[in-house]
Amino acid sequence: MIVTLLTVLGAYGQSPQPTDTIWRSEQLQEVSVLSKAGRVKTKGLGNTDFISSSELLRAACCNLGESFTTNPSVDVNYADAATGAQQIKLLGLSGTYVQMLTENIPNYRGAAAPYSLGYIPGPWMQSIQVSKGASSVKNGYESITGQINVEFKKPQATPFADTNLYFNTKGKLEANLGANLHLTNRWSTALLGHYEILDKVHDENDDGFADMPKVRQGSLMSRWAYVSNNYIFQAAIKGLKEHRESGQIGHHDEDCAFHDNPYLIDITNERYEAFAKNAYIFDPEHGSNIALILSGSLHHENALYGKKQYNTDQRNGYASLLFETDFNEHHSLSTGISLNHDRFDFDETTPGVYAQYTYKIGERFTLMGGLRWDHSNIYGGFVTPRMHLRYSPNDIVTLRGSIGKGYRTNHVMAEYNYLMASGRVMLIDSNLDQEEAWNYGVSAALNIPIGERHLQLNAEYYYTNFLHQLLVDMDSNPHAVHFTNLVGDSYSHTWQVEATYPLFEAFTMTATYRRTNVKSTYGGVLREKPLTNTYKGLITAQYKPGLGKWQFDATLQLNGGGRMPDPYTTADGKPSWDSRYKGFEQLNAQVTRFFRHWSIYAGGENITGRRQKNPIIAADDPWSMNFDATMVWGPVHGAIYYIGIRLNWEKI
Amino acid sequence: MRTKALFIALAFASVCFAKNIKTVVLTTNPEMHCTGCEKKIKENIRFEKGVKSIKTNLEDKTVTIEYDADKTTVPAIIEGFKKIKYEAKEVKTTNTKSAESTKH
Repeated sequence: MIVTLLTVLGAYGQSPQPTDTIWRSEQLQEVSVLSKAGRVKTKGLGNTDFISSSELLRAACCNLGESFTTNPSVDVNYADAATGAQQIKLLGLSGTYVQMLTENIPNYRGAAAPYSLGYIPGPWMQSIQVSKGASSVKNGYESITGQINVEFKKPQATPFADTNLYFNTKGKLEANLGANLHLTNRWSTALLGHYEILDKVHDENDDGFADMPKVRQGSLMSRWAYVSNNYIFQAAIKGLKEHRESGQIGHHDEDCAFHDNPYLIDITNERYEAFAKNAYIFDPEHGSNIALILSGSLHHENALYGKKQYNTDQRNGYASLLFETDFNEHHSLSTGISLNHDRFDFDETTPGVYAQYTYKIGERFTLMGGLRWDHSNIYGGFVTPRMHLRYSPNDIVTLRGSIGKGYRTNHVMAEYNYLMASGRVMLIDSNLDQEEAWNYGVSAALNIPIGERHLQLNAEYYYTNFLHQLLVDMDSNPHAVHFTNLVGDSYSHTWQVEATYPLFEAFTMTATYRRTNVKSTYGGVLREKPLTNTYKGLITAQYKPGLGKWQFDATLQLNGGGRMPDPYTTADGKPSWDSRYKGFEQLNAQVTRFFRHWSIYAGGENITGRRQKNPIIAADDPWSMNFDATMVWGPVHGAIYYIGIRLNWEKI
Repeated sequence: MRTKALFIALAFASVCFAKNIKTVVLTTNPEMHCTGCEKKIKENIRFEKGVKSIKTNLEDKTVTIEYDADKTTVPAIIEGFKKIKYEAKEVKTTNTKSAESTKH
């Protein structure tokens, strides 16, 4: 019971070792005991990838964004060629439609969205869960294409102390440390720290602009936990400060035309977060408990793009009171109330109530239906229905289906201010709708025994259909970006097949292929969504021979091409950029040597050196309307090689 | 003459590189009762000098270790278990190549 509740609260009470993991997908009410390390499909109700800490060792994984290098479902791209902002895509759609959670609490909304993938250091993470399609209604109405939940290392885990140092050929240096302490048999605490610095400027294509921004970032998190038989308390406070400098910062010699008036990008982010979770178990036999979750954040951003400035102060408060009980082995209920308040470009307060019922027949069949009602002081009341089904007739086949609705409130400038790194005029309509979409998904997972090994196959299809959407229109006017309400159709179809098989002893390979068809209506015409890859192929291989002291990892990504926003015509009569971009590959590899209390790793990212040659349009004329650093579809830097060392101690 | 020299060199090399690989089967106290115990043992004992392979069996609760007898001994391996707070007891030792029982 305690274990179950710990997991409900995201406090899994586990050691950092992934094999000890007992993970209950809070969103989808299933318990999965995972005996394998790495990335595994959970046995739960949802189509969820569980990325364990050992999977995170397969690449440098400096931060959350880089953790998806080996994941076939999540794409990570640079949002522009100047700020270093990264964005994810799930089901071919923008990361804003993915609900980000930390410790199962909504996080990194609004102003934090553009850089949030860099706000979670890799060595802080214990695990990541990527759930595709409709989610549980427990965490609110915002998830449309899926959820990504990050679990940090826990105070109540087996006592540990670790540190990680990383250095790459671009001059980036990172240091992380983490440790926990059991103060009494009930109280425990943990401290996680991070610092990174990239102070060198590289300009591989000699366009005068830094390929990557100079970055200094530091963050610190303090966690506390109290665990008794019937009461569990967890709290944390985190502070982060970051400074990014980019633009024409690399050349200051007299020959440069922009010597006197360089185009500079300067962004400072300060963010403070805190959460507290309380749970009281009053009937262990039926798993009956009441939980109160409180969280808050302050985010201050000062951004300067040339002469354009954007400053914001975002404040968020969130409270959720939940009650859960299992009537018997077949029927269980989860219900609760919540309140969310956002205060920045405009204020929004949204109280809500939900109920979720689960019917289960052993491990073979689960049906879960949830309904929530929320009321926004801006958009009024709205209903969020969601349903999940899982049927596993035998140990080989698991079929899943899901359907659900999601909503989003837009904060255009906070979420898209990186688009100011261009000469485009930003046009924002005043009457923007709340975004609203249905998501439908089906998947089939097969676990086929072949000799002593198992072939794992997974096939899935997702369809997302927007009823209301914020259209980011960069087509109608190549010198403007127009944020307006969708008029017409907008949808995403995604098909994905995946196969994992240990080809021989100690060698495992995963191959994935995905096709996406994402279209929206721009200026009355249904068109392919720009800067969206039409397909993705991913092959990952791991060789860990003998006692596993050596580990070799390689990942090859094949990204399909796509459509570019409509170009303008330059003075010499040519289009400013091609109407489509071609597919491109990305090859990463790493070797790790493990010792009892430390390990050393070295590797390369983008080893083939594929990069978008001129990602910044009109780089020689940054003060003109032709300038555009947002036409990015591929890597903006060449090969990066790195080396790192991890020291780890864990109490036996 | 050349063939003879090559043969002698190969014979010399095979003597030099021949390893005295043995296998020991151990039981532990506390007994292994879950995959967590298995992992703890494998994760730690693999770094003991001379250990070549580790196989665990949850059913009969034994750990089978292949080791290089020129580099380590069974008592040294048992000492390795003590570091992770397991008391290990030898069930049997075999010479891997000859499979000849050499119970101590």
